[in-house]
Order: sequence, then structure tokens, then C-alpha cells
Amino acid sequence: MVAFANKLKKSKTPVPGTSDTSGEKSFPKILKPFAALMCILFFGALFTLFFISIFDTDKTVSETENRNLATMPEITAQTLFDGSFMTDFEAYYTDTFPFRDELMQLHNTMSDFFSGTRTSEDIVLVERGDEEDFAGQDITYDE
Amino acid sequence: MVFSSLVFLYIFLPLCLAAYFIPKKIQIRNIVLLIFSLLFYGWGEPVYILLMIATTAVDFFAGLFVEKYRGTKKAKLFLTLAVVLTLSSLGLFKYYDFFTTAANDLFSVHIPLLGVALPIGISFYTFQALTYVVDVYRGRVPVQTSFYKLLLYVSMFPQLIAGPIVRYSDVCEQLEVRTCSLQKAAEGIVRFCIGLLKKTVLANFVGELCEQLIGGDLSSLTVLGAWIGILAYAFQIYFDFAGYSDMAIGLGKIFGFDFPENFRYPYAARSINDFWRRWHITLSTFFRDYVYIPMGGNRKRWAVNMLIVWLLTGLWHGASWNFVLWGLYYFVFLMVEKLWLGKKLEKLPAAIGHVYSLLVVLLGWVFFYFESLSEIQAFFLAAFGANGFSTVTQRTIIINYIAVLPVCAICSMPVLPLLRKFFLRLRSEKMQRTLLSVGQTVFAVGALLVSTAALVGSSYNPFLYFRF
Repeated sequence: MVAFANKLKKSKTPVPGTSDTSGEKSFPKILKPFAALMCILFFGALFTLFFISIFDTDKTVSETENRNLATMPEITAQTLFDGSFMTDFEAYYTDTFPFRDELMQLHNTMSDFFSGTRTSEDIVLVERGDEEDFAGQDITYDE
Repeated sequence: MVFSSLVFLYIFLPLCLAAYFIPKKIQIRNIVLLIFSLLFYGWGEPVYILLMIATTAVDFFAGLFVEKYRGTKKAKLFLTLAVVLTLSSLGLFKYYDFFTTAANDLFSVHIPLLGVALPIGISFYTFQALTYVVDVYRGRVPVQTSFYKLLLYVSMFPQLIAGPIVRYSDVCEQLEVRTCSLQKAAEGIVRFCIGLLKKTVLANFVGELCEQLIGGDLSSLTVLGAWIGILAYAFQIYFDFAGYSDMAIGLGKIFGFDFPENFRYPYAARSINDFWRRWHITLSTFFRDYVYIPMGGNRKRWAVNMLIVWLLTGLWHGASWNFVLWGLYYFVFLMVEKLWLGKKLEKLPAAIGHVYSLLVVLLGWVFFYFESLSEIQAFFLAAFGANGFSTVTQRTIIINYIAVLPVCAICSMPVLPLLRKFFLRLRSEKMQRTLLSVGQTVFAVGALLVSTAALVGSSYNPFLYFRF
């Protein structure tokens, strides 16, 4: 098996002068120190957040959303078997993720760029008034 | 489990990386990868994991028998048995209800339906398992004598759920020998981050736009809403799918594997034939090598072979009539190109080819997006003016999401390769590499941060009433 694999490997070594690998070679590879730096930063971020998320104390209430956050689901044979533990755990983990509020802020900035309400001739801005202003009226949007 | 989830990124992946890279021996690493792959699959499909193992077992034993009886009729018998058994699991779980409903309607009988949920990734892994046993029969790959390695190939989590459809011949040597290096890992990280951004940012935002325009009532859909809506869907499905393939290829590189490419800027195609050489490449080449050519390919009854391949391609995407229509739609255009239009397109200016291809592909997505014929009809009516040109509501939605469309357009075109070309004109190689290194490092860190924020943002669920 290994011998076969080696054979395959050998047969793949490029013959000098063929154009097969020159296309790849023409584009420079990342410098080694930067490759190391990138691995440290990327994998480091994964591990750091892994440890923080496991060992920090979970918040139970979100003030900005005015709701209770999901809690750690119970593991039973039943919930594992039907997959509801996994779904609930994902909800719990996302709700109690470290720096959730800060990350949410960043997401909101991004959201504003991609889907923020923009003003145009079509949209009429009105003063925020009393709810009663609209009472009993049908608000129609289209011409 | 999917890649675009916090549990995957910040629990599964770090644990898997640590367990994988601490041991140095490839045998142990293979076992680690297998265990994590099974956990990955079991997280989403705690029961159907047995089906995947059973499918692999069928093809594993069939491979052994094919090898044992090589050259005799028995080899063919075992191959046929394996193909039938493997496809029947796909048929049972994916197509049984579809064909039964069709038969019930056609002959007005009442054959009961199964009503089972579709096991995740079954369309991908059954095809992968098939490439193994077929290629063993063809003598293209050596038989695999250890079951866990074949199971590792079938279940390997980077490509398990949404492709690329990696052939056994692509990775059989890498299961024995593969190199992991810092540079390859860095390359993988960058690729993974590109995919993560495509999925969590581009696909999700443009998907919201699509949903708001064409996801609801079609009777008020206007020309503008219909075209922008289907354009948004074209972007959504591309970034979703290509993003997943990027993540798979990137993760593969981190673990030392080289997976085949799956997308090559499909929306830059100059013809429909060209489009299918750029879209979901591993699927179309699978159908070419394992269905079209064995049936006779171009040599006999090629038109019939094409029809069968495109019916199957359509059905592969989902057990529903709209996918059959979608496949036939492409069959028609491919036939027209082969018989007449193809040669003409080559002579015409490139721009005409691009516009034609984009238009055909865009209208094709209508058959993909809407599952019922009445919706498809309603959409086409709307797109060609049945409900007027535009309304304030739809204009407002489009204006709100106006930034996402140009960003998607740029990212779906081969801008990066153009930049690369430009970049390579820089004088010294040292300069090139330094710029590249800094750029990629900053990109990777930024992309991870932004994607994490997008994933956290998906849980934003304001409760407007009261906390109970």
C-alpha cells in the first residue's frame, strides 16, 4: 500500500521543463515567518475563545434585547438521540458567546452598511409622534 | 454540524486541531480525523450515521471481492451489487417519496409514503463511495484493505456535507502520505476565511434581500422586484455553495489534503457549456466520467446520453419536479449550443456571450428557487410586466440593500486573478512576497473577526414585549 502510494508520489514529481507546475510557481508563496504568525493568530484566536467560552460565567439576561438567554440544555439519551440537545446547545453557546455584545455591535455596523435603511424620495420621514396618530388608519405603501 | 457555526469554529475546530497535530504519526492522525469526522456527522445526524457506515461497508467489501475475482464475471457481479445497494440507499431516502407520489397521482393508487427526513450529505457521500468501488473495478486505484481508511475517505468532515465531491483517486495516496507545513496551513487558513466571509456575510445579506423580494406573495411582484430578486438569489446560491467549497478546500489544506476545485467564477462564463465547466465542477465531471462516458459518451446515442445525464443532474439537486425542469432547461441550451450556437458564439464579441450566459443562468435559477409550477409561472408573469414595473415597497427594499449588490458582483467576478496579474508586475520578488504576506495575514484575522460577528449577529433576537 505504502509502496504504491510512494510510486504514485514519485510519478507526480514534475519533469523539469514541463509547464505543469510553472503556473503555480509563478505566484509567490507567503513568507515563512508570516505563515507562522498567521497560524499563531488564527489558531490562537480559536483556542483563546474556546477557553474563555468554556470557563467564563454565562450571562443569563440580555439587556439590549430584553430577553432571557438560552441556558445549557440537559443531556439525556433522548435529547441526544433525537438531536434536540445539539440544536439547543448551539442556541445556548451562541447566546452566551464571549464578547457577544461587542461582536453584536460590529455586526450592526456591517448590517447598516449592507441593509441599513436609507432615505430616498420614496421614503417620507415623519416626526415620531403619538401612537394614536395611526390609530384606526390603514397605512398604504403603494401608489 | 456546519462550518458556519460558533460551535464548529470555537469548540470543534480547536479540539480537532489539537488532537490532530499533537501526534506526529500519520496513522494516529488518520484515526483522530476519523473520530472527529464521525462526531461532526453525528452532531447533526445521530441516527443516520449508521447509514453512512453501512454504505461504506458495502463498498468496502465489494471492493475486496472485485479485487479477488478480478477478470472474471464475478467481479462485475459484485460491482453491480455495490452500485445497486449504494444507490438504493440514496433512492430510498431521497427519491422514494417523490416517485411514489408521482405514481400515486398517475395511477390513482395509494402507496404509503415513507416521510423520512433526508440524511445530511447523502447525495455527496454516496457518490464518493461509488467512485471508490467503480475505480477499483476499473483498475485505476488499488483496493483499500483497511476499513477505517475508506470510512475516513467517505466521512472526512471538510468535504462530507456539501462537497466538493472528492474522488477516491484524488486522495488515496494522501491517506497514506501527506505533508503538513506552515505555509500550506496558512494557505488553507486564507482559503477558509474567504469561504467563511462568502457564507456568513455575502450569502446571508444578499439572501435577506432575495427573501424579501421574491420569498413572499408573488401577486404583487413587479418587474424590478423580480429581476433584482432573482439576481440576489443567483448571488446567494453562488456564495453559499462556493463559500462552503472554499472552506472545505481550506480545511483540507490545513490537515494536509489537496481537494479538487469546485468553482471557477461561473458567472464569468461565455456560454452555457462554459458555465458548466465552472459551476460545481466535481459534480459535472462525476456525471461525465461515471454516467455519460460509460453509457457511450459521444460515440453512440449521444443526445440520449445527454438527456439522461441532465435529467439526473436535475434530480440530484432535489427530489422535485422543478429540479427536473431545471435539468431539462440546461439540456436544451447545451444541445442548441452543441448543434448550432456554440460555434457562432465563439466568433461574436465576448460581451454577447457573457450577457447571453448570464441571462440564461439567471432565468434558470427561477426553476431552482420556486418549487411549484404555479409559482414559476407567477414569477415569469411578474418578471415580464404583469404587475407593473415597480412599487414603493419594493424600491425601498432594494434601496435598503443597495450596497450588497455591487459588492457581490465584484466578488463573483475574477477580480482577484486580475489583481494578481497586476501584482506580479511588481519588480522584486521580495516586495511581492512581503506585500502578499502582510495582506493575507491581516485579511485572515479581519475575516475571522467579521465572520464571528456575523455569526453572533444571527442570534440577535430582540424580544419586544416582556421578559417572562
